[in-house]
Amino acid sequence: MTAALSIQAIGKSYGATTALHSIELQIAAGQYTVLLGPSGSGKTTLLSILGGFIAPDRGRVLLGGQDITTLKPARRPTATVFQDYALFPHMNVANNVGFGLAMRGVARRQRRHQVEQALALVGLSGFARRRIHELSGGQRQRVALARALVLEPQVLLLDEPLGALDLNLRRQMQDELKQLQQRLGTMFIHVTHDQDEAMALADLLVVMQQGRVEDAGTPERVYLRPATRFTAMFMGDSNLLPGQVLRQEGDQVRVATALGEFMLHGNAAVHSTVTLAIRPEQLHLTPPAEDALVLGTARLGGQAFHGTHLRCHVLPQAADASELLVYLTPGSAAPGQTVTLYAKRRDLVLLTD
Amino acid sequence: MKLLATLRLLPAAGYVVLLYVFILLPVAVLVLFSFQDGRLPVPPLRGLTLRWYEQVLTDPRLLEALWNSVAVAMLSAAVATVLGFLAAYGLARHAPAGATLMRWLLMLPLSVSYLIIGMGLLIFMNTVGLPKSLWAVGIGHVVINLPLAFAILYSQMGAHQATLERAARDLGALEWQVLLLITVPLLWPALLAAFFLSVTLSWDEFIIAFLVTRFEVTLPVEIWSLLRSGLNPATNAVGTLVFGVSMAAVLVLELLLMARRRYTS
Repeated sequence: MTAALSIQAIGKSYGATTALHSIELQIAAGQYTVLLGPSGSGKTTLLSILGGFIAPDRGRVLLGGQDITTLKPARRPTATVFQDYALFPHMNVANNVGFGLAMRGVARRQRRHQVEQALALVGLSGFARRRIHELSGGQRQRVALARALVLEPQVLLLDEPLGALDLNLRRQMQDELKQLQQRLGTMFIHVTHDQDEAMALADLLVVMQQGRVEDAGTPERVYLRPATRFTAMFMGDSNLLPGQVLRQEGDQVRVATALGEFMLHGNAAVHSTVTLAIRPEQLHLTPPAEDALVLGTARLGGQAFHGTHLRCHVLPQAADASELLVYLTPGSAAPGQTVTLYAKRRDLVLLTD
Repeated sequence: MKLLATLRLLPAAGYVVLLYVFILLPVAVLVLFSFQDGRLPVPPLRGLTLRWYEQVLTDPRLLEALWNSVAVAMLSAAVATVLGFLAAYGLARHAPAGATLMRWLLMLPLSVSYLIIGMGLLIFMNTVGLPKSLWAVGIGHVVINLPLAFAILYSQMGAHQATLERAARDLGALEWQVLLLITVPLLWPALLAAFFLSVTLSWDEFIIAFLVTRFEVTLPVEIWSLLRSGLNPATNAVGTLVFGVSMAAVLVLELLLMARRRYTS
C-alpha cells in the first residue's frame, strides 16, 4: 500500500534566484515527515514539486521505485491539503469530499458510502449536507483532510495545514493528525514554519534554509545534536560558543573557547574555527553527577517567567565571553547573583560549518 | 450645532440635486410626454393617455425591429461573454508568452470609436462580398462588447480561485471538468454581469447597426427613421420602452453584484 519516497538531486530556479539546490532526501514508507524552515526556504516549492504543481528543472522523484517526476497531479498517487483548504464554496461537504471519487468515475452509491467513511474518519459524521461557509476553521480543516484521504493516496501532502487555526485548536489538530497518520500508515509530508508543531508531529524532521536541506533526522536528534549552526539557532533557544581547534586526538578534538578548553567527540581540522552549541536547559548551576564540565563563574542577568522555567540571561566573568541563555527552575536564583555554570560534556555539540 | 452642520451640508446637497436634474431631466421629460394626450410631445401637458403605446406596440415594423434587437443583443452578448471568459481564463491561468500584448490587443477595441468599427466592418463586407444583415450587427456588437466582458471576467480570476482549480486538478479533474465544475460556477455573478452589460450596450447601439443593415433593422435604427418624419409622442413611447428595458437589465446586474457580495462575505 505505501512505498518509500526518494528525492534525487531536485533543483528549481526562477530566473536568477535558485529556489532549490539539488535536494536529496530519502523518506521511508509510512513516515510522518515534516519540512520545516523559514519563509523562502524552499519547503513549499519542494512540496509543490512532490504534488506535481511545479516541474523541477533537474532531478527525479521516485515513489516505490517508480519515477513520478513528470506525472500530472491528477495521475499521481499523492493528494494535497492546501494551505487555505481550497474547499469548493459552491458545493456542500459531501460533494467536496466526493469530488475526487466522482472524477474517478466511482458510482454514486459507492461514493456516498466512501464519503461517509471518510467523514467518520475525521470526526465529521452527519456533516455531509452542510455548506462550507457554515463550518468553523477546524471543521474545514477536517473536510479538506477527508477530501484528500478518501482517495487513499500513497502520500498525503499538507501545506501549512494548521496555520489558520488558533493555538489550542492547533495543538488538538496536531494530535489528531498524528493519530490519523499512525492509524492509516500513509506517508504524510507536512510543511510548516512552526518548530513546536514540527517536533510534535515528525518521525523525520527536515530543516530547510535557502533552498537547501540543513538537517534531516528524528526530532530528538535534530534538536539535541543539530548538524549546522542554522539548525541549532532555528530549533528554539541555543547558545553558540565560537572556538578554535587545538588538536585532534583519535576521535576527539580539543577546542579552546572563551569559557575554557574542552575535549569533545568529533572531527575537525586543526586550527579551524568551530562552534560549540548547547541548549539553555543543558546549562546547570550545580555539577551534574557524571560527565561534568565546568564553564566558569557568571553573573545572573534579567529573567523572564515562562511557566515551566525561567529564561535567564547570564554573563560569564571570563574575558571575551558573550552572554548565555540558561533555563532555570522558577525561584532557584535571583538576578545579580554570581553562580558557577556546569554542563555535561556530551551535551556540547561540535559544529564545523 | 446640529442646525449649523445641516446648513453646511446645504451647498453640497444642492450640487447633488442639480447634477441629477441635469442628467435625468431629459429622460423624465421624454417619459412624461410619451403619455401626452395630443399630437406634439411638448409642453403644455394636455392630459394622460396610453394611446401612443398602443400605436407603438401594434406597429409591425417597430415590433419586428424590437425582436431583431432582442435577438442581436442576446446572441452577441452570449458570444462576447463566452469568448471573454475563455480569453480571461487562458491569460490568467496559463500566462502564455506575449500575454501582455494579447491583453492589450483584446482591450484595443475599447479605444476605437463605434463609427470606425462600423465603417471597417462595412468596407470589409463590401470587399468580400457579404450583404448587409443583422449578423453583421451581431459581429460588430461582439467586437465592442468583448473587451468589456474580458475585463470584467479577467478581474475576477483571483488567486483563491486558482487554488481551487489546482485542488480540483489534484483530485483528478480534467481541464474541461475544472472549467465547468469549478471555474464557471464560481464566476456565475461575473459571467451574468458581463452578459447583461453586453446586452445593454448592444440594445441601444445605433451607429454600427445603422451602417451595416438595410432591410432588417434593429430598434435604434427604426427609431431613427421614425424621427426623420418629425417628433410625435409615439417616438417618446418607443424611447421610454427602450429606456425601460435598459434599466431592467442594469437592475438585474446590480442585484447580481449584490448577491455576489453576500456570497463572498
